[in-house]
Amino acid sequence: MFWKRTVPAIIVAAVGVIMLLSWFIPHAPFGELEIHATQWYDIIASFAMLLGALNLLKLQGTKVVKRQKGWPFSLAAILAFFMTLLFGFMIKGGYYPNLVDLGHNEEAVFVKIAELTDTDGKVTEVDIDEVRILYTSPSAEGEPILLHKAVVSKKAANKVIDELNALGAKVELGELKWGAHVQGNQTYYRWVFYTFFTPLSATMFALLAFFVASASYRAFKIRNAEATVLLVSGILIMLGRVPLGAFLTAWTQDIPWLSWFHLPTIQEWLYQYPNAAGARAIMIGIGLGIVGTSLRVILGIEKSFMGGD
Amino acid sequence: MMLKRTVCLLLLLLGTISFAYADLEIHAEAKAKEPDGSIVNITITPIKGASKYKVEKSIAEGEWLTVLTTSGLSLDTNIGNDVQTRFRVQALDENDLVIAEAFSESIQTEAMWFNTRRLNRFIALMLISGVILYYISRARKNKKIYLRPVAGLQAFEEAVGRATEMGRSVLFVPGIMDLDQVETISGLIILGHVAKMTARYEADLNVPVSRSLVMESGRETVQASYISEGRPDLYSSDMVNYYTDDQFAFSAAVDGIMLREKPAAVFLQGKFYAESLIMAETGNSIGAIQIAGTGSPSQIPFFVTACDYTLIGEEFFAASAYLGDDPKLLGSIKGQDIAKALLMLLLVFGLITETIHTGIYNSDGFFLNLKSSGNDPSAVYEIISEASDKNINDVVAEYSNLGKEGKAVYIAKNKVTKGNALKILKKLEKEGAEVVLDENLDLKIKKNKWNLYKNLFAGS
Repeated sequence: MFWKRTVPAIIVAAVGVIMLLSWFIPHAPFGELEIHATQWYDIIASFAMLLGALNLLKLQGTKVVKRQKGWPFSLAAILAFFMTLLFGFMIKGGYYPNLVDLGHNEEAVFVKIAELTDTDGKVTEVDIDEVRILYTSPSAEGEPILLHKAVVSKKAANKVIDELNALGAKVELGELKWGAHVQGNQTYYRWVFYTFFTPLSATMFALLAFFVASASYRAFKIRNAEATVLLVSGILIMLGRVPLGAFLTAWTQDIPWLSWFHLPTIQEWLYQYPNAAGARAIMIGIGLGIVGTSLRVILGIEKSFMGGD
Repeated sequence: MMLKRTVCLLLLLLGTISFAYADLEIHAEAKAKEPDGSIVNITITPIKGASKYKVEKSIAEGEWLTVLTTSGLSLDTNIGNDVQTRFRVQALDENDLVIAEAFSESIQTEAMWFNTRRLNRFIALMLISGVILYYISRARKNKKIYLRPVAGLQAFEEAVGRATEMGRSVLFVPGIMDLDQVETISGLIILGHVAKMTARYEADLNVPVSRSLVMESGRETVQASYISEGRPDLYSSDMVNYYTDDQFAFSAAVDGIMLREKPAAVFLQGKFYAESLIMAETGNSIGAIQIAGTGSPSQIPFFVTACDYTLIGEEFFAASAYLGDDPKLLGSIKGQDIAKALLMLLLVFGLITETIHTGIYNSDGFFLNLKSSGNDPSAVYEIISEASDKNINDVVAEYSNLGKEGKAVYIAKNKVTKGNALKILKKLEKEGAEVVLDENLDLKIKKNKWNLYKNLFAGS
């Protein structure tokens, strides 16, 4: 109990007080404590990631083995996990032909490079001119040729190198270093990220638009006085924010005592005053709640998040 | 004869060089009241023939690092605290040739031992903490403390009971952030209480998390709750599972659980962002009783719309005290409420004084318009430098050419009353300057609100 409850409570209290003080003491060593603490946290969290990964595999693996409801999704999750791991640590791609010398048959080399790097399937004179500008005088380290492929393997790069060398150019094999491949072009990791992960994430995010519509429909249904106020305010804000609102109430600007009823003015007022007042009241409550919770944690009154009572 | 001429020429040349070098000076001074120290203000005394100045700082014996090449005569730069640093300035002519060089004295900066700029926040923190601690100590002495009932918190037991009756599980999501967020800690604290209820009612509990550390902490919390309720046999580490760190992948996982398992009660308690509505609407679609709580103000409206109960703001942080029976926790909530009441009084006081200050007397937002600097501009520049908290060289550069309209002198104060603007005006007039008192645009807007709106909409 001492090691599992008391020691962590003492560490939490000590670190809490020191971090609090460091916010008011910019002098060394307190001033830099926040940076150090963040780094320590990142290191600990990195180790914990391993636990998370193992748990994920156990959870999804059990579903597949026991053929539980929706097990094919779990299988997809496991395969995606290992595929990303493989592309992150073992197979990187990211090879490229590196043009060192154009040789004696420059024009043929330019046309070939234009064909290899073309993105629209039709090589024009303009494309060849662009290639000519880029590759006329390769630097001492060579000029990388970015092939029009999502991923460039060693085999694919070597094939292109052979083709270009056959035309008299001097082309060598270049490759992205390990680590750089995570963000570099034409690697397997990047391919996985941008072909699968990004569209799937965007799809989930896009669902939000439909959920907002269904939630708004429910919220704006007139049930009581509060809901009616919400409905009216919502309509005024929505109309006031679009040109139609300004257009519909433009006539009020010709009558001085009615000028305030211009919809953009009303929506601005609603937004700046009643809305801001409510939001700030909640913010003050949240701020006080954070202070209270932090104090309870630092003083050891609240220990349930560490498994205490 | 020839020798004499040569000597004279040499002397003349040396004299010219020494004259040119003698004038160039660099002065470095640690900027006052800088909490983090390290900021140095550099002023250069200009010389004739120089088009720009290259400023360098010493980084080791005989090694210099270029700070800036500038035509200005004043600049702020950073140096390492507690390190003796010198500055070197080289005057460059139009062809970038060095025509003069000067060194500053050694300078050392130091960070403050107390950040005076945060004094007000320190006092506020001490006051609020003091009030909370006082009520905790009162609670320890068994003084009875009443807290108003919160509908959302009273519904916790009802939600778990409903899940038990229906034979379905309870889903608890402690947000999507890590343990470095106080909302996540608050979510885990609430998880402890919900786990006690599920242990009592023998209901299934499912806690998907998006951070590995939260998973470990969540398991500890749930296990302790099951043990404290005398049902360690019902606890399984599979109750708390990690899915993914990614925001939308996690919301997809939670939505999947909701649609497959159809939990009867859903608790969304922690830090949420855009995924809040995705989860809450899915929970709503399966007919689960939903209780949300978050410290993210922008997500509260989504939860209010889609959930049956929402713990708003401080209610979320107070949940632990309400759900538990520890008088110390209740005391801290009472302390928070008293601190809130004090803040409300302060707000009313601020509202009244601000209304009197700006609304009735229109006493904020004045500035001076300098039309002419008079016969002795240097004294005028010094007054402006002091009033506007600007470097004297910058003031000279800014106000040496006033033009027909004159130039505004902005007084460096949060509130510029007519009284203190007039004081500075008198000082400037005493030195022979021609100055006019004017009002800034904000104040004009306040005064001519109706006319201004009219003009704006009329397109003028």
